This record gives sequence, C-alpha cells and structure tokens, in this order.
Amino acid sequence: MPIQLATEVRDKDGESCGRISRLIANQTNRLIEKAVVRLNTGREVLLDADMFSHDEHGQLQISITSRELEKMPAFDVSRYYALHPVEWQEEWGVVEGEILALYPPQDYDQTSRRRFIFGSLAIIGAIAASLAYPIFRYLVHPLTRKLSEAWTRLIPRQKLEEDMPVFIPYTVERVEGYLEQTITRGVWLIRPSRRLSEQIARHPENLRFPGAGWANEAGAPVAFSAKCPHLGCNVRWVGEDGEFLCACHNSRFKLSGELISGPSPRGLDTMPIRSRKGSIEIMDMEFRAGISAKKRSA
Amino acid sequence: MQQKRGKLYRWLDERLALSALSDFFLNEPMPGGASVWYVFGSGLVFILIMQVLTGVLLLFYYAPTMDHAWDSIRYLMEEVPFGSFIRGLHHWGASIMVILAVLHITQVFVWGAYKRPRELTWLAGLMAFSVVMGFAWTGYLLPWDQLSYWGTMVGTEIIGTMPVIGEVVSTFIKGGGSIGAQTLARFFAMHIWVLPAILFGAVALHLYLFRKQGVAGPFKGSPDDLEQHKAFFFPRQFFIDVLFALFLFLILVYLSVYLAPELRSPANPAVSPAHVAPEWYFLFLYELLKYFPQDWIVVGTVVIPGLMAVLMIGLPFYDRSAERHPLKRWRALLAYFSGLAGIILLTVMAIRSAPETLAVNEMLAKEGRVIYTGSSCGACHLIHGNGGDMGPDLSYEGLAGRLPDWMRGHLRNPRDYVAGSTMPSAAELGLSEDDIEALTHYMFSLD
Repeated sequence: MPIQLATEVRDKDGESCGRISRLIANQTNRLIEKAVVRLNTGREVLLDADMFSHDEHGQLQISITSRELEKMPAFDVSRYYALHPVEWQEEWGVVEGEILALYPPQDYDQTSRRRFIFGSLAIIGAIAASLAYPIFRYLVHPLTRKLSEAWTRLIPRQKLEEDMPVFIPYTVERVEGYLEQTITRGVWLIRPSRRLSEQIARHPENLRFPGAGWANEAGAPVAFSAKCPHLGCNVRWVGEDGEFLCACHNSRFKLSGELISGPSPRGLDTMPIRSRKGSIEIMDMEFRAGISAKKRSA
Repeated sequence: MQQKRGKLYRWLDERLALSALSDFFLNEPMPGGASVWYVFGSGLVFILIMQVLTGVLLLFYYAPTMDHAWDSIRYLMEEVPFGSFIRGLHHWGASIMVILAVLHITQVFVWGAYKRPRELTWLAGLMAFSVVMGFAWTGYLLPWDQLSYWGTMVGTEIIGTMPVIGEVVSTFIKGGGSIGAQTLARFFAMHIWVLPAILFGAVALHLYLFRKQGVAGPFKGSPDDLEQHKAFFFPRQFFIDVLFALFLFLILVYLSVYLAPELRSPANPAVSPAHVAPEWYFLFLYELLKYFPQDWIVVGTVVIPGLMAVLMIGLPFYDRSAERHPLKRWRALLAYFSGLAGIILLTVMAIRSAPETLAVNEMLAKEGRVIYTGSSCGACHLIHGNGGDMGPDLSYEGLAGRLPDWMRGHLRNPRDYVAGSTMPSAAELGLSEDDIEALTHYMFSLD
C-alpha cells in the first residue's frame, strides 16, 4: 500500500502526530523513498519510507516516538523541486488535486458528453471519407498510363556482322506527365545466323509481346533490350567470352539471350522489330525486372 | 475487445501519459459554456489542416522551375483526375483563411480578449496572420502565369520603393534584378519550407498561450454565474467547431467544383496583360497607391501599412484598461471599424475600377473560329502559320493584353481604333452582334 498525501500519521505509541505533506521520489529507480510529515506543531520532518507501516485498520504508523520526531531537523524544502505530473508513476498512487476547480456540471454527465463525441467523430469521418476518393484517384493517376506503340528507326553506324551484337542508341519521344521530351535509349542489335534464329524462335515469348498486337518474324534481325531482367541495370556484350554480362549482379546471358548463370529470373528480353524500306525499326518498350514473366512497364 | 483496448490504452498511458496530455489539451474551461462565437479559431485550424493536405498533394505534380511550372499546373488541371478540384481547395482555402483570420481578429478586438494577461497570445496571432499573408503572396507566383508574373512584378517593385533598404530587400526577394528562375525558386522555398515552419511555431505558441491563459470568455456576466455554466472545450465546443468546419468544407467544395481556379496563359515578360491585379486581399494596398504621386509613394507603401501594423501590435500595450465591454470601449471600436471600413471601401473601389476582363467561353470561341473561317479573315490574317500576311499576325492575340471592349469596337468599325485600317467593318462583312461576341472570344483564346 503506497503512502498517500494528507494521510494521518500515528507515532510509535499510537498517538496522532501529523499528516503526510510531501512525497520524495527517487528519479533513478522511480520509487517513493521518503515522505515528509507535517507535525501537529507545524514543523515538517523528512522520514525514510521504510519507517512507515500500515496497521490492520489501514492506519499509517511510524516506528519512532513523537519525542524523537520533535528532535529531528526541519525539512529544508529548498533542496527539492516539484515534480511535474507527467513524471508521476502510476504505482505511487498520487492523488492529484490540492487545488481544485468546479468540474463543469454539464460535462459531468457522461452520456450526453458521448453524444457530442460521436457527433463530432461522425462529421470528421464524413469529411475525411468524401476526400478519400478524389485524393485516391488523384494519386494513382500514373497507374492509368498509356503505352506507346510507335516505331522508331535504328541507324547502325557500321555494317552488321552475323551474330555480332552491336549497341545502337536511338531516340524516342516520351510524354512523362507534363513533360514531352526526346530521350536516348539503346538496344543490342544482332543480324542472326540461321542457327541463332532457330535458337531464338524455340522460345515463343521471344517473338510475341504481351499487350501488343505484334509478333516478330522468325529470321528477322534481333533486338535485345539492354535492361537486365534482374533489377534493371544495362547489360553489355563481352566479346572474348561471347556472352552478355550484367555487371551489377553478374547475370550472364548467351548470344541467344538465354540465362547462363546469375540471379536474373529470365533471359534477355527481345523487342518488337521490323524492316521497312530497307531500314530497321523497333517499338520502344521497357519490361519489368525481377519477375519470371515478360511484362511491359513502359 | 473492449477490455483489450483498455489494456492497450493503459499500456500506452503509462508510457505516454496520454490522459494527462489529453486532459491538458481538451479540458480547456470555457467560462459561461460553449458558444458559436468561438468558432473562428478552430475554423482557422481546420483550414490550415486542409491547406497542408492539399498543398502536399499539389507537390505530387508541381514542378518549381520556370520552364515547367506552368506546364505542370496545366497538366494537373486538365489531365490529372480531381487535379482541378485539389487545386481549387487550396486556392479557395487561402481566401477563406484570410476572411476567417480577419473575423477572428475582429472578434478578439470586440471582446477585448487581447488585454492582460493575453498580450502574447495577441502577438503570436498577429505573427501567424502576417505569415498567412506571406503564404498568399508567395503562392500567387507559383503557377507562373501572366497574372502571377505581373502581380509579383508590381509587388516586388512596391517593396523596392522603401527608402534606403528598398533595393537590397527587393533584389534579395527576387534573387536578382528581375523576376525569373531565381525568384520562383525563392518563392517556392518560402512557401513550402520557411513560412510553414514559422507558421507552426506561431500557431503552437498561440495555442499554448490560449490553453495557459484560458479563454477570455463573455465580456458580461458575474464570475460566479460564468463558473457555474462553464464547460470543457471537449466535447461541446469541439462539436460546434466541427459543425463549423463542415460548413467551411461545404463552401470549399462548392467553390472548387463550380469555380475552378483559373490558369491564364504562361508568364510572358514581353506583354503585360490589360489589367494587373494582386489577389483580392491585397487590393486595398494596390488601390491606395493610386492616390499617391511618385514622390509620396512611400506614404502608401510604407507609412500607412507600417502605422497599421504598429497600431495592431501595440494595442494591448497602449490600451491597458481592464474594461472589456464593447459599449464602454466605443471609441476603440469606432477606430477599429473605421479602419476596417476603409480597407473594405478601398477593396470595393479597386474591384469596381478594374476593367472588364473576358473569361474565354470555349463554346463561343469555337463558334468564333467558324465565323473567322466563314468570313475569310484568314485571307489577310495569319494564325500559327495559316493565312495571309496583309493584316497583323493574330497567333498570340489572346496575350496581347487588349480589353474586350476594344476588341468588340474594333470588329464593329476598325477605322475608329486603328487609323488607316483597311480591314472591313462588321457591317461590310455582314456580322451580327452575336458574331462579334463569338469572334471576340475566339481572339482572346489565341495563345
């Protein structure tokens, strides 16, 4: 049972000697370790908490006599400071309120109070709910993007040798929100031998493109997206090894795009390609990385 | 469930002292009970929350650079779902905030609530009010359209007329000698980071003081009576405030849906529009400047606004009587309302003296385009590469800054407006008044 403020204190002989006027907390272990008793004579004395005990009637009693109490030095309040209620611990059992004010009579009735609380919450909820849909639509707008199906001409700077990948930069018009701009991207272009064409055609997903009404012809030039299907870095052609390498996480791919080793979930992605009036055109696409299916993201 | 929540609450309460905190914030005693007169402050808090929310949302699409700001707002208005609605909430929220702030200040004045011990509450409130005006001013430039560009031009030039420090301050604000990329960056930084920080500080101080010093309460009634009828802020006053917030919200939604904020043509430093004006809450200053010749402009730009500021800031310090009843303070009220009436009068005069502007009606503009083609105007005039070159190029006619009446009159009889014009009159072309109106809209739509 904690020692409580204003409780009457009896001395060792059972005589009333004063009341608890202050409690002293140890801020390190957060325990009430001392208490101040205002004696009936008006003097305040400081006592250790373990000197107090509760008798069978709940009366607070101290282990010394009134005479011994009178001999103790007066409590020096200037050595202490008042603890803010925020620092009070629940187990101290401190009852707030030496200075009281009238509790507003109409607020004392909890049921009528509750009506106002629910009413307020309902209105706030209605305002929030009516804003939720517009804000949601406003924020998810980029998810409803349109994918371009425009063809772009590739202009190789040298004659393509059979089965030798060449990195070809190309420009595309991109509309990104309010910004229309020309950006430069690149693909690995290959003039395939008959054997390479067959290897590539063996995987039907190399010729078809999800969401686009286009299929590449078997035997046509091959364009591999430079974006690694693992996490999107660019792959490069390592001529001496005869394979594509993504330097970010060491995914390696065959000339046919098939995965040799490394963390990539699938082989390199082919791009839609066609020949028009003697030049090669591709449809600029970007595919999602990190998944085993070939899905277009841009 | 109930018990579980109670347990969690107790666990949190032990660590956070939630009850102590919520008691501190919510158990604000209102002498005499809750009242509909006390809604303005909470209304301001509600609009502030809305401004923060919609402001953050606008940042998802806005580009704070000179070459993309206008495009990004156009994209937001025309392509992003609810983009115009969100911008509308932010735009009209600013106006409602200024109105509420003036009502709040007026109420505090009438109630005599600025008096001891609430002097600091008054000052923190004035600080917040001036920051709100700073928000309005810096936000105006961000869409980078014709009016925001030219309105800011006039505003910074006004600052430039301050004696001694004018040039330095104006150059600092603009980030250079003229309005450009640096100005936009600075206004953006002020609007998004600096002013919110100051505002939250001022509002926090204002609310803390409001709690610490309490509500002034009614100016009449005995203390005993007021004490018997007092109520905590929560939930009765809170409920009234929430009802008021709902009222404000409905107004905001109505304005945002039916009066979407305009986006005029992009800022063009070469052509100032026919009528340059700031937002309505700065119009009184703008009107005031019409009455001062150049040598006296400082009176309108510095002396009068400065005097108003000093009178307001000093109020609780020179008006030190404890009397709060308005009828016993009729001289102070007379002075305050005369000042307020003067501001309103100047604002009304500014609005009435503004030349008619033309909000282009898309339907009429389309009709005008048909008439333009049907009347072979293109035989002599060029619009974006199509047409003849006998007459002036009309490609950017909407940006030329003409007044609608000039355009109508000129179409009726060109020679009255341009000496020696060879353009046929409306009668010669067989144009009706309706045709002239449609053509006027078409001309104003060209940019």
